[in-house]
Amino acid sequence: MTSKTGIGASVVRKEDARFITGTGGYTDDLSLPGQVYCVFVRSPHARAVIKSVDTTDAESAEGVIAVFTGEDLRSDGIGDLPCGWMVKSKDGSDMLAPSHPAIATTNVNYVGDIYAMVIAKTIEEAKNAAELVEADFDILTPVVDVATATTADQIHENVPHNQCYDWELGDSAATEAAFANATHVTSLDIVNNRLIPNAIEPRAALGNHDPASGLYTLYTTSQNPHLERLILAAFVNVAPEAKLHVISPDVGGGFGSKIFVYAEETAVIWATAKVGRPIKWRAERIESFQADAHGRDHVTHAELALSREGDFLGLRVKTIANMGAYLSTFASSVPTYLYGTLLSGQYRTPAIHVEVKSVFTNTAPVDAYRGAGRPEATYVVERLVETAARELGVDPADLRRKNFIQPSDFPYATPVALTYDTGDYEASLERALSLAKYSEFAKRRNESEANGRKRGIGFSCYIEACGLAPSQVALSLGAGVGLFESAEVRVDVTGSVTVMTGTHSHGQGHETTFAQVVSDKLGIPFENVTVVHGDTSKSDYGLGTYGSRSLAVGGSAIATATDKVIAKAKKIAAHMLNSTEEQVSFDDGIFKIPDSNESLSFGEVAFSAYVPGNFPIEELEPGLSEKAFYDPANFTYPAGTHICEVEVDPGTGTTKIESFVAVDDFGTVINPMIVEGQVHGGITQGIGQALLEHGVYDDDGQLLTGSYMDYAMPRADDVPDFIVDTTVTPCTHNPLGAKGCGEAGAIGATAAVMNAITNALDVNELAMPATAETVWRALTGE
Amino acid sequence: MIPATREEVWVALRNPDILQECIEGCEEMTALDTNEYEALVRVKLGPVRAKFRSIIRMLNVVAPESYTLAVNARGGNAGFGIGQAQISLIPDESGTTLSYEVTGTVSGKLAQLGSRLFLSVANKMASSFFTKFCARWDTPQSA
Repeated sequence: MTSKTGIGASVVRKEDARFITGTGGYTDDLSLPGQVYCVFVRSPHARAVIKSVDTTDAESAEGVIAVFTGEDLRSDGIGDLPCGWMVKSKDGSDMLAPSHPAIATTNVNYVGDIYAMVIAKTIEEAKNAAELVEADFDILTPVVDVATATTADQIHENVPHNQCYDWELGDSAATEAAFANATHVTSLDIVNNRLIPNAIEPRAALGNHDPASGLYTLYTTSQNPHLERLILAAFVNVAPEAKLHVISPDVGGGFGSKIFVYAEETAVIWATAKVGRPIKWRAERIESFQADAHGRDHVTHAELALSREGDFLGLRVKTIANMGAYLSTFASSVPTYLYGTLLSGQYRTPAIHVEVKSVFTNTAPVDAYRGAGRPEATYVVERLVETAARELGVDPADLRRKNFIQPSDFPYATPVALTYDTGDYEASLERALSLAKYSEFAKRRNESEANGRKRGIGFSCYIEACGLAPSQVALSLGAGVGLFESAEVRVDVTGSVTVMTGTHSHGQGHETTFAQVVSDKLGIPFENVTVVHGDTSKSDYGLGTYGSRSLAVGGSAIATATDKVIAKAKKIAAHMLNSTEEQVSFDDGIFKIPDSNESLSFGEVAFSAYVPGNFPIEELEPGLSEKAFYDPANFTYPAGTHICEVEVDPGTGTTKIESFVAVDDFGTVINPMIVEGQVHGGITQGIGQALLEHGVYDDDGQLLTGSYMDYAMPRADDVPDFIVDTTVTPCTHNPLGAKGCGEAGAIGATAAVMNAITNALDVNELAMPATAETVWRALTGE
Repeated sequence: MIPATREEVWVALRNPDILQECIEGCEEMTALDTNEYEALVRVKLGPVRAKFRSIIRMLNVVAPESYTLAVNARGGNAGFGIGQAQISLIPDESGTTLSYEVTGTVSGKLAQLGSRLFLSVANKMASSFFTKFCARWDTPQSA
C-alpha cells in the first residue's frame, strides 16, 4: 500500500524515539518492591581446586541477606548448564561435555568462574560482603594455549586430552585425489583471533518469585527468552515451564553473547525463592570481559589445490577450535555445522575435507559471536583464494569469477552438506568492482607510492547460511531444539493489529520491519501495527534472534499468519458483500467484488468479526486473530562481495582504510535503511577484528585484555564512509524472499581488510589484529 | 646504606612493629612464627583498591646475610598477589648495604586492570619501605 511505509521503504525506526530520548526499558531500569542485590564472587585463578569456601564473615556483614555456594544449588537439585548441540566425533562417539555448574563446587576453571553469590540489601553491602568470602584454593597449572591443549594437563576428569570432539566433514579420499592432481597448492596457517563481544548494555537479571501462585518471573538480557525458559525449566530444574515467565525487555545489543543461558541468571532466579525477595544483578563491565562468552579463537592449517588453468580442485582444512573452560549453550555447533559447511564459499570446489578438533582451555567459554563460524570459514576461504591469485600472478577478481557457482547451477549441492537455493555472485562482484573503481587502482597505488605509502586492495566474496534453520536438518545434526518460529497476528476490534513474535529485537529494529510487512500486506497504516516480542507469556513460542533468522524465519511466520488473517477476512467480507470467497479480492486494505461499486475496508471487516451482527456465525468463529508456526525448508544463503582498500605508512606501520565497498545480496529487502545500518555495524566489527580487537590471556590464564584500556574497540575514526549497495536474488523458499542481513558485514569484512593489507605489504601471512606494531614488524623484519 | 651493623639491621627487619611502620598502608602486622607474619595492607593498583590479607614468609634464611621474602596476598574479590623479594645485607666500615630485588604476579581483577602497573607498584612499595626503614637510622633511635 503506502509506498512510504510498505515493503522496501526506509521507514524511520519506531523504537528510536525511546532509545534516543533515554526512555527505553532495559532490565536494569526495572525495579520491583523489596528488591535486593546480588554480587558474584569470582575466581582470580585460571585453574584451581576449591578446598573450602568460608562464608561466615560475609553472612554476618552489614545488610547481607544470604550467601550461597555451589553446594547450596546442588543440594536443591539445580542442574548443570547444558550444551544444546550434540556433535559427534569422526569415530561416531558423542562429544565430551564437562559438568558446568552455575556456581563451581569442586574446581574453578577460568578467571571469572563463580564460586559464591552474595545477596544484600544494597549493591554496596553486597560488594563489601563479597570481599569477606574466604576461599582456600589449591592452584593448578592452567591450560591456556589452544594449539597445544590436547597434550597439556587434563582439565576435566571426563575429558581426556581436553578434547571435546574430533569432527570431520566432506570426502577425505576425493580431496586427497584432488591434491594429487593439482599443479599448484596454496597453503596458509591462519589464526582467527579471540574476540570479546562488548554489547553496549552489560548482561543483567532481575528475578522474582510469587509464593502465592508459585510463579517465577525472570527479566533478563536474552536474545531468546523462550529458550532461556526451556533450559531453566527442563535442564536446570528451576521450575516447571508453566511456572516460569521470562521477559527480555529492551536489550542493548547482543551479537550472539546474549543467546546463551548463563550462570548468573540461573543463580538469580533460583535464589529469589530462597530469600523470598526479588533479586537484581547487573554485570559490571569487568565481569562482561571475564564471563560473557567470547568469540572465534581458531588455529587452522588450510590448503587449496588448483589446476594449471586456475580451477579450484580441492580444499583441505584442519582446525583446532577453543571451547574455553566449559561448553556454552551452542558452542559445539559453531566450529562444525556453522563453519565446515560453509567452506565451499561461492565456488565450485568439487572436493572439500575439513577436520575440527575442539578443545577445552582454562579461559572463558567461547560460543557464537556475530557470524558464528561463518566469519571463520570465509576468512579461511577468502584468504586462500586471494593468496592463490597472488602466487599464480592472476587478477584476484578473475580467479574468483572463473570458479564461481553460476546462476544456472542452482540449486547447487556443495561437497559440505548444504544446497544453495539461489544467488548471482558475479553480479555482486561486478557491482562492487565498479563502486570500488577497481580499474583505476593501479593509478591510486602509484600515487601512494609517490607519497611513500603502500596501497593495497583486498576482496572477500563471502557466503553464509542464515535463517537458522530447517528444524529437521538441525535436529538430525545434533541440535537439541527445533529452529522454526512462531507468530500471532491479532487484529483488534477497531482494525489495528498487534503482532506477537518469538524472535527478539536487541537493536535490529523488528518493531519497524515487521510492522512494515504486516501493514503492507493488510493495507493498513504502519502506525496501527504494534509488534510485541521478548515475553514468554505473550508469544506462543520462539527460538529467538541469531543467525540472521528473524526476518527470514520469524518474518515468514508473521507473513503466514497475516495470510491466514486475510483468508478469514475474505470469508467475512464475502458474507457481508453477499458474494463468495472466491469472488472477493483484497488489495491495499480494501475488499471488493467484481462488477460492483461495493467495497469494505479492512477495519469494517475486523469490526464485524468482533461485533458479529452481519457475520457468517454458523460457518466461522467470531474474532480475527491467527497464528502460524513457520519452519523453513532450507537455510537462506546471503552472499556478496566486499572490497577494501588500505594505505599503509611504512614508517609507523599504521593502516588507514581508504575505502570499503560492500555489495550484498540479502534477497528481498524490507527496510533498506535498517539493512544499511546492520551492514555498517557488521563491517565495523569485521574491521575491529582485523585491525584492533584481541582477547589475550597470559600464560597463567589471566585475562590481560579485560577492560577498554587494553581491549581496543573500533571507533568512528577507524572506519571510512562505507559504500554499500545490494543486488537481489530473492530466496526461493520463504514467503518474503528474504535472506537475512545481520551478520554479513562481520562475515565478509575481516578477510577483505586482511587481503588488502597483505596486498599492500606483499606478504601472504599476517596475524590479526594487524596493529601498527604487527605491520611494522612484517615490513622491517624486526 | 644504613649506618648500623648488619646484626642490628637484621633484627630490625624481623620486628613486626618496625615492619608495620615502614610498609605503606599496613594496618596490622602479627608474627605467627619465627619466620612467618600476617599483615593487612591496603594497596591501590591503578583503578583497583584492595585490602590484602597477606602471609609473609622468610625463606632461605642465612642470618644475618640474606633471605627471601615470600608474600602471598589475598585481595578478596579484587584478586590475588604473589610476590618475592630477595634481600641481602652486606657489611662495610660505615654500616650495612641493603639490596633487594622484587618479582611477582597478580591474578583476577588485579591482573585484568592492573597487570601492566603491578611491577611498578610493587617496586614503588618496596622502595618506599626501604626508604622509611633506612630513615630510622638517620635520627638516633633504638631498633
